[in-house]
Amino acid sequence: MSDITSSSFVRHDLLTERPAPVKTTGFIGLVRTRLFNSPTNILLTIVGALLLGFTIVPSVKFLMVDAVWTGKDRAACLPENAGFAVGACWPYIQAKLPQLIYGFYPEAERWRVNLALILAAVLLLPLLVPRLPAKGLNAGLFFFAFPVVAFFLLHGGGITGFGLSWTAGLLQLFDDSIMSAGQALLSPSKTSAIAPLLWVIGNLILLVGTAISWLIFPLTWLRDQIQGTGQSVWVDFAITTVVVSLIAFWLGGGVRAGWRTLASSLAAFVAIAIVIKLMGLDHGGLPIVQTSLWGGLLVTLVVSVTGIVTSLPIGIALALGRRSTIPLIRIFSIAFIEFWRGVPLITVLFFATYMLPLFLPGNFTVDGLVRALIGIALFTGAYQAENVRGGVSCDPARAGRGCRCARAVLVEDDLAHRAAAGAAPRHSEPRQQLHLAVQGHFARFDRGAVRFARFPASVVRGSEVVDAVDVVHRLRLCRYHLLYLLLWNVALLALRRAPPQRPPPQLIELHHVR
Amino acid sequence: MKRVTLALSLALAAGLTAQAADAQTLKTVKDRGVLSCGVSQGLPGFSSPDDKGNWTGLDVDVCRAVAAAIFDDPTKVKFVPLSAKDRFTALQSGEVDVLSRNTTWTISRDTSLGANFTGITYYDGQGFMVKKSLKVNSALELNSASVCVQTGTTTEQNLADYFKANNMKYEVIAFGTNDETVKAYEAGRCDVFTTDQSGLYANRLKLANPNDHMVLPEIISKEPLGPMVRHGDDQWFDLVKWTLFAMVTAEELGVTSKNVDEKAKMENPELKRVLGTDGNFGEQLGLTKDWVVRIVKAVGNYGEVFDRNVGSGSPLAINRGLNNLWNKGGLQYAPPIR
Amino acid sequence: MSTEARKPPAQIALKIRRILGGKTGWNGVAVQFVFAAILGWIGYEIVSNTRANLENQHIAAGFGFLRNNAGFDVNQTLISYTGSDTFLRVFVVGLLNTLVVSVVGIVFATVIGFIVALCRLSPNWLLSRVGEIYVEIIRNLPVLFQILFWYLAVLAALPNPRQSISLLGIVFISNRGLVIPRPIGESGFEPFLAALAVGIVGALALRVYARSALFQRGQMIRIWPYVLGLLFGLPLVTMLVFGLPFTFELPQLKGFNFAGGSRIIPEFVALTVALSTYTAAFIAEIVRAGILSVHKGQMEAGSSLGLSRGTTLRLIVVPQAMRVIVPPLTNQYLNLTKNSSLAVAIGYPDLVSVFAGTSLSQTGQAIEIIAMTMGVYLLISLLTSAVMSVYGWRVSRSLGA
Repeated sequence: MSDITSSSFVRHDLLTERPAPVKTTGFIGLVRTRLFNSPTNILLTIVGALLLGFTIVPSVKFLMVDAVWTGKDRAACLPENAGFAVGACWPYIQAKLPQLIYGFYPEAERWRVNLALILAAVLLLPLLVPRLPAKGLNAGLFFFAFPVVAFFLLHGGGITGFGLSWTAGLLQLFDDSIMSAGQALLSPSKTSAIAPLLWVIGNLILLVGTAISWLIFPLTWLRDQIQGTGQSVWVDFAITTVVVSLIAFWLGGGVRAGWRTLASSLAAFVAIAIVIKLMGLDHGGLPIVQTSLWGGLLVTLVVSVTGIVTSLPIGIALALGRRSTIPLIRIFSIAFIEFWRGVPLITVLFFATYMLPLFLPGNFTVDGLVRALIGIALFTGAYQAENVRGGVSCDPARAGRGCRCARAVLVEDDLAHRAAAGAAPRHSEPRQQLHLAVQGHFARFDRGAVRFARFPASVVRGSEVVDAVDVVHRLRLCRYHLLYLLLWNVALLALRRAPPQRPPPQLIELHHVR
Repeated sequence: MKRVTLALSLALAAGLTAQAADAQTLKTVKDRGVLSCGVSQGLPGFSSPDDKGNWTGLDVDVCRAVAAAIFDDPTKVKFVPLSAKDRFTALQSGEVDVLSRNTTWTISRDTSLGANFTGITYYDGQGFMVKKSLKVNSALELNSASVCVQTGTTTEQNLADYFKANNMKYEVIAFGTNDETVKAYEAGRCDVFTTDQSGLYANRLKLANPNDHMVLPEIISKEPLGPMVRHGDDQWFDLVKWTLFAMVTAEELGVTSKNVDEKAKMENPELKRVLGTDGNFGEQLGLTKDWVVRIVKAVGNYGEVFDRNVGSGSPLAINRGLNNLWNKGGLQYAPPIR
Repeated sequence: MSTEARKPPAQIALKIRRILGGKTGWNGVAVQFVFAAILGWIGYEIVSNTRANLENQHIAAGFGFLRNNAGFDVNQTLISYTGSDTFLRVFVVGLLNTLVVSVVGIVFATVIGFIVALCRLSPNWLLSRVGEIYVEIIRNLPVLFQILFWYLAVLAALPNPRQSISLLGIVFISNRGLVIPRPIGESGFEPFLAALAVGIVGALALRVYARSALFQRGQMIRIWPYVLGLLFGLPLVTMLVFGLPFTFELPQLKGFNFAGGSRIIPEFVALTVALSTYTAAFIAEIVRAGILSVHKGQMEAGSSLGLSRGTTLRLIVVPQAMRVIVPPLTNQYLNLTKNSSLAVAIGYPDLVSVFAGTSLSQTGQAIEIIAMTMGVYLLISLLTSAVMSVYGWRVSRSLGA
């Protein structure tokens, strides 16, 4: 024992403490490892700091230090009145704020805009929180009920009929157009060389038109009867409710299983009735506010939201058309997409705003805002088509160019980047790709809408659009958006019949296809 | 959404029946219940909206007069603000029924644009505005200056002619709208701002310090400003034309918005003809007999309109000058209503 | 009793069916027929409505107006132009202005975009944050707003010509733009140009030779002294022999403005700066995405071969990233070209401003002019797309993908 302790190779006393290793966490660690760890990095840090200094200091000076905060209007910001070199002029903004938000929307009616915004927020917020239940109902309300309510709220006006009158009106319109096509064929046929042929075709068309008019006669007759009663909206509403609910009941499984469907259908109609009653749509509704009076943030939001929502179905239809094997449809889709991608939005808007009536017959007009919205929807739809194509064509079996595009979109968007980090191994699953396409859609959207030359006040892009990206991402939009499903299926019907061994890539089934 | 679908299906259906039918503007306007009127985007005195979107001005009152003649209600007008370069397209396409936007009457506009001028509401001429600090007293001292101008106007062409004729160099910066032009001038991008004299006075009021700027004495062109309608609808052309004449005639006869009811009861044969107690000129225009009464009640006679918007009763305080009646040394002259 | 082999179905019919109707066969043909009928009907309606409307109002139609005198002046012209030239010349002037702003904008946007992307990927914390802030702010503000900001807030703050900022008395910066001395060709100009051309061609040939020597024989040839000699020495010698190729005309303040010298107008500067910084934010994200899409192992493989970080990036990572980068990059180039049409807001005389704006309102021939304008943009887009697809295809091919 003692010879061990006394042996020379056993240390007798403790070593002096060495300094702790350099801290690599926390603020100090960050400074050491990522700012000043090498001469190059020190230089880069200095460059970065200088860049920040040169931009932030003058901005703060302009926006806060040199700014005028109090006063009534622009006069308060004149150097003579303020007494120093003036930066930002907040009183002016304050004086013009209502105009920046509402445009010329009548002051007495502005509560309608506020209400529409609050409604949108109330419907959006639950969609943002993934844990909350009833996403389907919520999304349905937001994507279908809300636009209708918002239209009547913002624009005003009422309805004179309901489902039955509308159906009758549409059918009659359709029939009228067939009849007049027949007439149009008959009229030049006296001079033309192929006169007899035209005459025959024209008469055939007329015959079809007459047959249809007899076919829909009960409906139009009923419509006229209803319009005769004083309570046309409610009578029509009751009939529509009964008919639609019965159909829903029958489709839902009849006496055995249809009760649930019946109940939800009735509930929906009760809700619609409450809305009609509340807004007084049955007797004229709210006073009409012409869209020419709208402006500012209101128009920005209307344009953005409409553009976002409508361009996705257009994009999907076009993307499918572009992948179709039918030559004409493919060529048309390609030409359509390339045309809209190739021309500047400003010329499209000029065309829609000032030139469109030149191409329409006689005295027919469409509201200016609607025309611009259609232009924007087509424009963004064409962009969207390429995103969808990038997503859809990403078949893992033949990972082609589209896949890479989609992947680029994936990394391009931070949000998607995070999503991919979580789901990296299955990121070429079609469903994922579609999400990517959707996200690319939003990443790309900001270019289009807000450049709306007619409304200079709408320079604020509105962080709402950014939020919408998040919403839809969480929502898994495609699963709930029935409209897309519908369009998808319509497009498929037009493109191909389902081969028996391979089910058509319907949207729902996409989720299971590997 | 319903409206859109309906509109689209209507478009398709209407497309089928499209024939080269005569453009019946009056009928369309009556059916629509509102007159669509193209005005400038904001030129004090001629057409400018206030905070609430109410439009005022000389050009605006012309449209109100037309609306009053048709509907007996001067508020049934939808004002479509147009930039100089968009205005003719909007008129051609039918986006507006009347273009009342201080537009200069020229032969090329009358012949190739597909539009008709219905008269002259304001006799104007092009001038220049400069900063007083430049110490310029005449347009002939403007050699090598930079000039801000609104694009798509006769002003732009007159400018080129004037500098070429006087053998001076210049730099032109053309902007899309009046506001952009004024803003660039104020920011110092150009030395000179040019447009019609009335426009110079109107825009000067918009500047931060109107007293730092002066309008040069030279008037380099004739700018007869007036409303336009589309070619091919003579009834509508007559209606707008005679609305203007009615306003001038009312001033000649001393009929004002205040005394119009008394005047209508007087036994003067000319007054009876004009104010519709005798004859049916209004009906021949597609209006009612009392069309002039309606117009004068709604907006007043030409003199009242002028004074209220650009004349002594307005911040612009422009002299009547050429715009006075023919028998008071001006050029305003209306053919007789008989 | 041998059974004869059954005849195969007629291939020709199948082929026709396939060509005409795609996978769906005759049903597809029917769909196409209906589709074509609808398209034709819509087209007929549009044409007939337009003709009726135009005839009704006696609006002149056709392209005859292109030969008329324009009668207005333009601020920046790359070819000689006066007010008495035709509308056709206005069209060309506008088109050239659009092209020059697009090309310059694309170059700057690409450079800034790559720099910002490298900043964001940089290990330096501060620099990557700066890159991130740049991208997020610029990308989320409308480009029209940014153009107006540069024009009205930044450039308008410059002094007027009489108080202009002078650099060495030859370059002047004021709110009328940047004025620089203008080179004027002298007798030695053509030989100088010829010498320069010879130098460039020679340098390129040397490079090709050196690379083939490297790849085929593994021989490294040092060529840079010869290249320098060709590029600078040769023109210098011609200058000594033939005299100065050009002299400079110095700008002088005369009256309101500078006389002499060349001027870059502030509208051009504002538009280029706004478009290139805006597009650069998108390009930065595309480049970052492209580089991140290359597997980390590629970088490790590079360093295990003993290549430096820079060389690895240049030879291994970036070429692979290009495959991902090129298609969206093309989109950004197209966007920049199309966004240049916002020039009208600040009075830069681009195609939309002088042709679809001024000329349109002078002649009133909206259909012809808008069709020509849209057609030209479409053509530019398709050409850019084609060039970039060829490039993308070459990149893919060289990587064996």
